Amino acid sequence: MCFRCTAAGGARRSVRERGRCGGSEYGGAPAEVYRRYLERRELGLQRCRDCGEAVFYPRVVCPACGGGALAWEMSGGRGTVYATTAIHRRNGEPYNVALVDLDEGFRMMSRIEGINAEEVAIGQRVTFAVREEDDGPVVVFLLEEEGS
Amino acid sequence: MRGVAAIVGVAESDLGEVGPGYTPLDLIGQATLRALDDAGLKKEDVDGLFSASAYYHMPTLSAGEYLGIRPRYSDATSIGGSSFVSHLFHATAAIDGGLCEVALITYGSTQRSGESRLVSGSETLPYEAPYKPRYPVSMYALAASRHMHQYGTTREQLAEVAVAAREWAKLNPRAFMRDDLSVEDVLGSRMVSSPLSVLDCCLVTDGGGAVVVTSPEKAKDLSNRRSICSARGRPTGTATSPRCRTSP
Repeated sequence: MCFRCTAAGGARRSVRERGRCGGSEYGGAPAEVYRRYLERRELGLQRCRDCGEAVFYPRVVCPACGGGALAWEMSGGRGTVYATTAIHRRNGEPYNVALVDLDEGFRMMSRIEGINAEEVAIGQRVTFAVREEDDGPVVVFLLEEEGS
Repeated sequence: MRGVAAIVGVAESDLGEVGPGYTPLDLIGQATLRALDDAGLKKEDVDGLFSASAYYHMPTLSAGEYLGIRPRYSDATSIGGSSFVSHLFHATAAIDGGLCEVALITYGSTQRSGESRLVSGSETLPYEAPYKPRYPVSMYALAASRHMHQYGTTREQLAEVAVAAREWAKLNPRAFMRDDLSVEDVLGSRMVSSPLSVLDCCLVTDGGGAVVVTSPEKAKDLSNRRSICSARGRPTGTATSPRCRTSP
């Protein structure tokens, strides 16, 4: 859902009018809206109203079609590991960095927790979680439980 | 191929580990002196200046001031390691279009002697920073992991890249590392960002280079006419893979 444009009848406006808003009518700066979702422990994404593309990271223009009407929606938080690396430190255990393909059709960087960094594998199914870190909430993923 | 410009001078600065105190601009200066000497030209002949840098925000201004060159035309296109290939194409187009006649393309780095940290020039997106990817290595590591998954590529095959580079280095007396290197050495070296170990990664060295390009007419007056360039476009991609669209 979108914070402002739904109430303001954004969906009923012409493409031309919507295309002009450049994001401001969709709840403010893209990074701020994303952060507000995250503070509610939700993963927000944008979807282009013109071409249907799922857009991440958040921005004011659709990189697929060039449209300016990107509406926010909430991700179901489930996805598949697309790429993975274990970063080794001189002191301490390796940590994971992964690219996750969310089921809505967008890709994001994150890390997979609850498994050794080197054991994360491409194709594993993962589920979204939020960790509180010093600089604010951060998206991580956990291996999806069997049968869930 | 339509010839619109000619490379008439090429040179490197001192390479490898130049020692403390030298700046990237010093290496630009060394390479420029040698390249102009190679071309049989003087710095007063240069009216086009091309550079990219992880050290200087406005590298053509910094290099122009250092060298005492005030170019009619300058270009600081910055697209990573291929910047200087793009400069060659842009210089060719600029010469062809009459924007300049003698173009100097130059670069210098003191990454080994001058800085303890790696100067990668990579910016980390706020959506990526919390995960502490070790750029630039981790972006290649993520791509390599996917390549291995998708095409069955092995670490042994990736290690062949480093081994082949070393075999070439052994033929070059100015190369920084000329010791034998085997696939086993690479696989057994310290892991940095899996699947890439420290010997998969490029060396951190000092170095500078300069290339002088001019019109075919002016090149006729010079003895050192190395090759003819034609203007071509260069495709670029994004540095960070999350921006890529999801593949089917």
